[in-house]
Amino acid sequence: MTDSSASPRSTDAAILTHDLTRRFGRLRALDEVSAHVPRGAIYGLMGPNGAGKTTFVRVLLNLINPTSGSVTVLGHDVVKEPVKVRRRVGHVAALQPLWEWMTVRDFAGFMRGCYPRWNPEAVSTVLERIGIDQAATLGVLSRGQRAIVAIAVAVGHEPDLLILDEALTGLDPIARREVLRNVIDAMQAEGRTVLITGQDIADMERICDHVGFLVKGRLVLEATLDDLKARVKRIRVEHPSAGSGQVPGEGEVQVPAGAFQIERRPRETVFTVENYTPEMLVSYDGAGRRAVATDLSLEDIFIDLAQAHMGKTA
Amino acid sequence: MRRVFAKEWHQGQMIALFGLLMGGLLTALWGIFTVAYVKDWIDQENVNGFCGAMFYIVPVMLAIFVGAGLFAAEVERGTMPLLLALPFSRRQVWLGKTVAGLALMLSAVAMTIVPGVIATRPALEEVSFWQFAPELALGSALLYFGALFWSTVLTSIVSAFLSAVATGIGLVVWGIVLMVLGGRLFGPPLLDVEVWALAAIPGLIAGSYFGFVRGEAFLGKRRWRMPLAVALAIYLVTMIVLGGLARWSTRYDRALVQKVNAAAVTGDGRAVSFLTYASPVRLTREAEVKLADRPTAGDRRVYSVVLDLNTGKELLVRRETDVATVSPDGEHAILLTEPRPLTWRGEASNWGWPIIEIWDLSRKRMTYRGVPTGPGASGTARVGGMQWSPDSKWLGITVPQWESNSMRVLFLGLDGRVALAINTAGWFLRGAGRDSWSFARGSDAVYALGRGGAVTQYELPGGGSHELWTIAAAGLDAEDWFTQDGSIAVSPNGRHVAVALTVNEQPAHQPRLGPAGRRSGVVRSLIAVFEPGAGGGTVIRFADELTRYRTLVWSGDSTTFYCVSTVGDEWGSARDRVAVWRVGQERAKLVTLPVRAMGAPEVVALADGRLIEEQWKQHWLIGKDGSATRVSGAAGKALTNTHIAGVDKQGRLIVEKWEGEERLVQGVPDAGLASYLAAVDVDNGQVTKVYP
Repeated sequence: MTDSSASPRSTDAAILTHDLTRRFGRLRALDEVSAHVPRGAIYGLMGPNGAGKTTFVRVLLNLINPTSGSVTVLGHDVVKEPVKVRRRVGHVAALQPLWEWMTVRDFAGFMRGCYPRWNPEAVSTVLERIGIDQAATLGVLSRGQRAIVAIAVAVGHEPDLLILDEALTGLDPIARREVLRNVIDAMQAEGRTVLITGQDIADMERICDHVGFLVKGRLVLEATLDDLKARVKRIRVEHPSAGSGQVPGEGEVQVPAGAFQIERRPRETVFTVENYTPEMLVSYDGAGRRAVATDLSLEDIFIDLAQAHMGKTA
Repeated sequence: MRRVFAKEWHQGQMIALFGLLMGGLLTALWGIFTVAYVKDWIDQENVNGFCGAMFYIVPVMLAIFVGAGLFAAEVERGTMPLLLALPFSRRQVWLGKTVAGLALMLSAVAMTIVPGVIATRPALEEVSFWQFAPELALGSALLYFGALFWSTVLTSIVSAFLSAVATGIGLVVWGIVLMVLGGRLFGPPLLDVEVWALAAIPGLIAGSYFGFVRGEAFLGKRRWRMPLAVALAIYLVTMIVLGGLARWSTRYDRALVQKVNAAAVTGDGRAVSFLTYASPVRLTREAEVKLADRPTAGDRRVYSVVLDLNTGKELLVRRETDVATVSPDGEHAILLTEPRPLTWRGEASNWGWPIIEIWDLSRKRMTYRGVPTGPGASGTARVGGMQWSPDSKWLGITVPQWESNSMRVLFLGLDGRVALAINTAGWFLRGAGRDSWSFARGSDAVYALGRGGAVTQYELPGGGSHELWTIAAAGLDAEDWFTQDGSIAVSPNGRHVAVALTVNEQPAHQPRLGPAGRRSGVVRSLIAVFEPGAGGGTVIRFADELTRYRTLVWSGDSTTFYCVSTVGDEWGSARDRVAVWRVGQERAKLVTLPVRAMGAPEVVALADGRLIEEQWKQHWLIGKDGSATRVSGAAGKALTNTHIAGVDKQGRLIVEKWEGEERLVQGVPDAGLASYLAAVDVDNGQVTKVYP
């Protein structure tokens, strides 16, 4: 769950939101989101469709204003100092349309004029590795190529925070790997922050060190990847004595508070917990029962959390 | 902002080039159709009209297209988030795009128009291109900002384009509605329809700005309420401010008084009444022409002013009245206002008659207001002329009767009641028949010229009448001669009545060829002088030379009368001729002024017993001995740019004087000149006093 007990950590946070809420009419696209993205982190923000990921990113860039709550990016209040924030942030949206009448070089030149500093090598390195001709008009490039161009240009001003809003969608595996290697690894090596949103859990699991789960506008979990895997476990309680073929009642096998994805079968009860401790297993041992904790992949965690919280809020 | 501007400029260059292409195409088209062998089978007027129209339509369409694409195109193509994620504030982005759009629009318009103007200038002049150039520029600006607004609010170029077109049409319609309704409810409008339409521009700009900076329409959400509310609010404020400003600046004591019209000295010379136009801005010639074309529009007000010549102070200032006159004794002023239908105060219940205001100038109180009552004060009425009785008891109001080609004269008392209504002869196209009747010396009777050439005396009040004189006294048979037109003048001592008649020979067998009074046959002119009650009288003939535009004026000592006429038919070659007749003489002296006549002499007046005639801004002093002297001051400059208003009892000529460049356009002094009243000594032509 959201770590609301933490003290303000604006100094070490690239992104810090507190009770961030954004409504569209009666719809709460973001619902009291308190997120903390540490500086230098590769942060993966996951969530099902319509969870509010893009809205969250747009608020970070002050493309839209929050309804309530506070947002600080790189130490700047995004509502009061949006230009300062955008000067230090690189942003690429999913299948970002570009000005198609420009050539790649024009586009890079235009963006270069918009920022106080610019590293042309950072741009050209990415483009050359993928093999994109800078004289080509953006309109003739494929969608994937345009996405590469957008990502390459987004790091031209050497941003302290790079936001990839489902920007890897549509990239072929080679291009994806090049981006991960040349852009994100470079950012990480230089201690800069990357916020990636999307649903490609495998990539997230490979590159992210921090993750957050956004479901129906609520940040239901935020942790480091290791911590997450240590905390979220699936527990299977075997109870062979119940041989009647009947599913045991809730009184016979009690699940801890906060458990979800609970499945009761004739011989076993399976559930997922967010705050796993080895002591949990001890409480189930005895009387012919045996409890086992299983590690979950990030994808499993994502699915379990999403289903659990969507079911709750539905 | 510079980067955004540069991007927009770069992106929109094709639009400017499109303008150039259209301009070139139209120019080429015009060129092709003016080639001799094509000219033979294509109507050149149609070509000129088409090219001229296209030179308007293309720039306007380009203006809308540029404006509509500024923001809606970014949303439609999905590039808005990219633009907004740049390190610029919303204000900078909005400014960059708006200024770039404006520059693009101007460039495109210029590129469309300039080649065409250079190549097809004669043709464009034929379609009055320049006359509408300001409207084109303002219309383009209005539509550009309209498109800009909708481009901010809507998410597609097409819808923004169509909405901008609808907005332009709607604003013009709204401007017309405002002008018409406003005029009917609150008097003549202060501002033209274009001004009301252009007043929307600040609102459209503000709506677009706040819609973009504060709103989120660019994300594809239909957030049009806030910008629309802002636009409407600003529009309302702008209208109130503009209307208030115009109203404030056209107050009589604040406005630039530019024209003094229909001024006349009355009574003992103590007061003068005139109409004046007050405007917040100096009117140009073009503006004046435009206002003349559309009398209900304009940023000016009309005031009737009664001025005390001795002190220079205004005795009475009334807004939006059409006619003002002061009684000879200077005690009363009567103001007439043409009816304005649907006036919410319900004053114009009788549409036919003007509202009459009778003012007591000594007490500065209005003693009567309303339509006149009594005999003859019904039906439709347009006042043709007015004349006070010498004792200031009655005001004779002449009303042309269009249907019967005659005049109705109503005699209005100071209580607003009509005491007597009579019909007289007179041709309404000249002077509205104001000379076809006259008060008798004692103001207790009226002499009126009937259509049969008879002069009848009517008692005032009461209306008892008897015939004084007929054309039989001149040896003409009333059966064969029909009075077409005539003037009548009573000598100041009341002993003589002068009658000038134009009669048509109308043999009994000849059919009538036109409406009453317009018959065929020989036209003759005669002047007769008789003593009321004595019958007969002296008939003076002038060999049918004085056939048109006669004006009769008696000298103050009743010994001489002057008859002004125009000789010759050709415009420009006609001459004014003045007949001077002294009581007792058999023949009159004829004086032909060496000035080309444009028609009727504009004004005649008497000064110290001498006639002053104004023609083509030259003033002639005609003595009793028939001598004619041109009135001019030192170096002949004193009486330039003047128009006679009247003569006061001290013999001073009161003139309306225009100051500025001296130029006449078809007899109308060039607009843009300030004018004022001045007193001129007729003997030396020097301006002796200027009235503010």
